[in-house]
Amino acid sequence: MTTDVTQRRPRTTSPLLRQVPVSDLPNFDDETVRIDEPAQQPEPDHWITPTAVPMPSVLRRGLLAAAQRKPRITRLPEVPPADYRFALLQQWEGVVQEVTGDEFSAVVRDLTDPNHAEEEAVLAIQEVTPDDLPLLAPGAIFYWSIGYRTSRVGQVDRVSTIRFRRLPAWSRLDLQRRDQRATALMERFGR
Amino acid sequence: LTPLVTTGIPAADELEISLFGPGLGECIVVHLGGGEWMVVDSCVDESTREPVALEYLSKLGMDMGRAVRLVVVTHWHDDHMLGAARLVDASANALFVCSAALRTPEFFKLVAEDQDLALANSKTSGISEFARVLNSLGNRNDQSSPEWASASRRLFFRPASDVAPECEVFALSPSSSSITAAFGALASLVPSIVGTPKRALVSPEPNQTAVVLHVRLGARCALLGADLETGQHPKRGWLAIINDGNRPQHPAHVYKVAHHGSRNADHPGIWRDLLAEKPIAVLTPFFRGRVSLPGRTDVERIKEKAIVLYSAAQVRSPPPARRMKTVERTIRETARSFRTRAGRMGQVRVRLSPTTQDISVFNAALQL
Repeated sequence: MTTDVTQRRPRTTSPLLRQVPVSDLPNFDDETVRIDEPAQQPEPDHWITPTAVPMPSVLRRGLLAAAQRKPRITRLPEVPPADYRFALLQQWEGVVQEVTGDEFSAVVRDLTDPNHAEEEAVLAIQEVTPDDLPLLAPGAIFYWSIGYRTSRVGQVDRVSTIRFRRLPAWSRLDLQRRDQRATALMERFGR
Repeated sequence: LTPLVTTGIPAADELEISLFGPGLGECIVVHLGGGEWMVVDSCVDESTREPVALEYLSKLGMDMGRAVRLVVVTHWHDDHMLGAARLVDASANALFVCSAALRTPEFFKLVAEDQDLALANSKTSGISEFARVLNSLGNRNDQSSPEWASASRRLFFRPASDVAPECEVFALSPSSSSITAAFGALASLVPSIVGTPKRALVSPEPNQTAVVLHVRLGARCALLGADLETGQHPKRGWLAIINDGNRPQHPAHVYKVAHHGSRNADHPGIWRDLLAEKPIAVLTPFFRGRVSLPGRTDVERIKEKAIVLYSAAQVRSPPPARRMKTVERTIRETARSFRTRAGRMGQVRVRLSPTTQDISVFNAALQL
């Protein structure tokens, strides 16, 4: 996507939304460059200024530093237009319980009709998209969808797809926070 | 002689063991005599989404706050935990008991981690429920904390009175050796390396730290086997109980069969040393993946040793929910096995007075 930064309305009242001169931009092909543009966001009711409301100096320094950074530039791959439409009939969210041989078992929860009780499925590993195979492990979460796929030329196929959720990894901060909470729980309940 | 009571509330001197099971999960409601009750584990009735013990005791007209003296969670697997927090909430004066194997920083890390994760829409894991139980205990005014059960620890005692005979409840497990081994097993479940992907927690096997209970009301006794498994180690699992000289020596007349009747939770010493000859056996079924318990050989094995064997629910897996034909056809073509986890709730009720016994089954329960 191409963005003409010269057309952006300057907002001199807020250092958070500094106009970026074209000369500051790296020289990428237009088709592969997107600038995260504030104008595409919903218009806020009011603009935050560091002086409009009292705020801690640490936060103010952080905001100013953020405002002075150059806008983030992301190189995106070219995305071809979708060559099919998908009509979803049924979807579950599953948690892998066990992986044995060429199959895995999972507890699945109906996202289409949440009134249904939890169910259990044994599925062949072959049903998993090759890209997702490294994610297949006990505790992994996936979505199993059943529906009709209609191609551009009008061909309709009934399909079942299993896609695994890309979960975030534990960060040092996550682990520290968890350990602190665990210590507090142990002190309170582990007597 | 005390008249046999088959309906309504049990007599003050009657030991009642009511086993509930919907095909996944179990709950045991025990009358300790004198209008006092114990609830062991918890499961939820899918039709009402209520903890089954809460429903049952409410139907009997019990005041949960006064009548329930103990709420025991034998282990933290989801099929034994669902609804436990609501039970603890309602049983405001009950002692909450769980396995001493969980009294470790590693287990509390799992609880703390669960609060952080919120990974799946399905928040029905045992560890999530355990976190809610701790929250309920934390909300009590008396700074409650769990009672940590271990081998030969007496959890409840009431002396004999004009109203009811003497009653005591002992934990028979986990043994010290099982607790030590469990610490290492729990540590292996706790992510400790930065960059490890976040995943939901899946209950580990085998289970050698569950809380087995021995209940005695006067001369009537019951052995509640939880999901404790046996193994080769003489100081762990069932072998530790069988070899423990400090455990109560009264043989039990009712046996809640351990781990849904599986062979790896059985041992000749259980029948020889812990149970009366030809006891009443009750169990709940279990289905996971390709595992269905009890199998046909399990039923035959148990029936050889018990006078009768009852199951709280059908021993075949319940069918999945009905959906549009296209979806059902695709499920059949895609999944090697697909079924509902829990079926219809059933109840096996055993009431033992000093001189009589009565066994009744309700809803999906049946004699095997």
